[in-house]
Amino acid sequence: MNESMTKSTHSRIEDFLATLRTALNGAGGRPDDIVEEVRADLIDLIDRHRSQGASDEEAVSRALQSMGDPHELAHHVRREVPPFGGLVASTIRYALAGVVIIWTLLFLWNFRALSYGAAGLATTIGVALFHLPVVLLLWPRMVWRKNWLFGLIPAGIAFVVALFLAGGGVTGTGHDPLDSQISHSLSSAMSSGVAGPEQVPLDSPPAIVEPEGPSLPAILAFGAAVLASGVLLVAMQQVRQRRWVIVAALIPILLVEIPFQIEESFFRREVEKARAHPENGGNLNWGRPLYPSAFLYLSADGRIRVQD
Amino acid sequence: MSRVSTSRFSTELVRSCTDLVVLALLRNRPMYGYEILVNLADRGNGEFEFQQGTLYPLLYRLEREGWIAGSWETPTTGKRRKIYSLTAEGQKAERARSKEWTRFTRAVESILEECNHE
Repeated sequence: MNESMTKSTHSRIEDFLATLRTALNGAGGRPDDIVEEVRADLIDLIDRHRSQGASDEEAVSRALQSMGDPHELAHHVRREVPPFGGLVASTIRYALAGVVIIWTLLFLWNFRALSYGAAGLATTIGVALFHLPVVLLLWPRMVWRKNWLFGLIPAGIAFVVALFLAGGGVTGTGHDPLDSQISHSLSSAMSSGVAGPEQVPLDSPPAIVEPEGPSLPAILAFGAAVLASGVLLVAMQQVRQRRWVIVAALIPILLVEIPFQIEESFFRREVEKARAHPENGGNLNWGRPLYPSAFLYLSADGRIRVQD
Repeated sequence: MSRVSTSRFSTELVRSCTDLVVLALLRNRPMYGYEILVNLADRGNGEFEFQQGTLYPLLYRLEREGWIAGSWETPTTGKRRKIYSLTAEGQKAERARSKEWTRFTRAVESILEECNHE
């Protein structure tokens, strides 16, 4: 602060800045930055008025008048500064988003290995669609609009509802939702005990137990909730950030779905070979190279199953 | 939000072009908040005088849009300042809005001229 200023003018400036700081109410985690920026400009403005012949009191009065009411200024600033955008909050949000991305990919990898073909693609899309909103919410400066409707609270409620419905829809029946999975341990069925990408004849093929999937209303409720929360969050996004939705959606496709699709194309070749030689029994048991504990199983009646 | 002396321009008119004028100023060189205000007033023939307090929400919005970036700098002689510069996206936005504004003002002028001759 200018040394020539009187105590009262200095005090008026500090009062203004203190009121502003309080009214900013955390504003995106950077109220100190904002107050310091205002302080620097305020002093310039005061100096300018003084250089034009105003007294200290007049210069401060005119400068403060130009700044307006600190509460109103804080109100307008808060509308423009996204919440939780400070350095510490942003770092935590980046870290959490990274954890969610890694966890989603690992979860998806394990889940995808237990499905096949179109069901596998549906699994990838389902898991990605469900986790994408979480990443969007966590990533700083990605989702935010100043309309109250697009605040964090409605988004959080939408997400919790989706989570609740997802939990009820997927686990409500107590069964794995994958209809391609056989609830039978391969190891107990295989007499040879050999597992690998090569054909392994089975002395006694595993019994096929059709798992009971989630009910249709549960699936519809889950789909609707995920879609609604996804649409809400995309609508909340900064327009220029929307391309990252496409990038985020492509990551699981590129890192999980495509490798499994390539792997399955190799399995289909083995299936063709097995079908060309029905005299060998027509069975095929093929360990997944990408997930050694899962097997793709071609039964004699031509059905393809995945088993763990 | 933009408050400019209403005896000069209407609030609606100013609001429609505040983004553009600030982006255009920063196209030439980075500036800090107060410097932007002074330049707006000087280059706008004194007609374009913002209230200081209206500038910050505008700058933070442009920053949030990714069109400008603010960084704290301390020159060897002078005070610590938050300097704003145009980002690559901001340059694109400035060019697009500038073209849009030129087309718009020409269209308005054309209509006004036609009407004045009728």
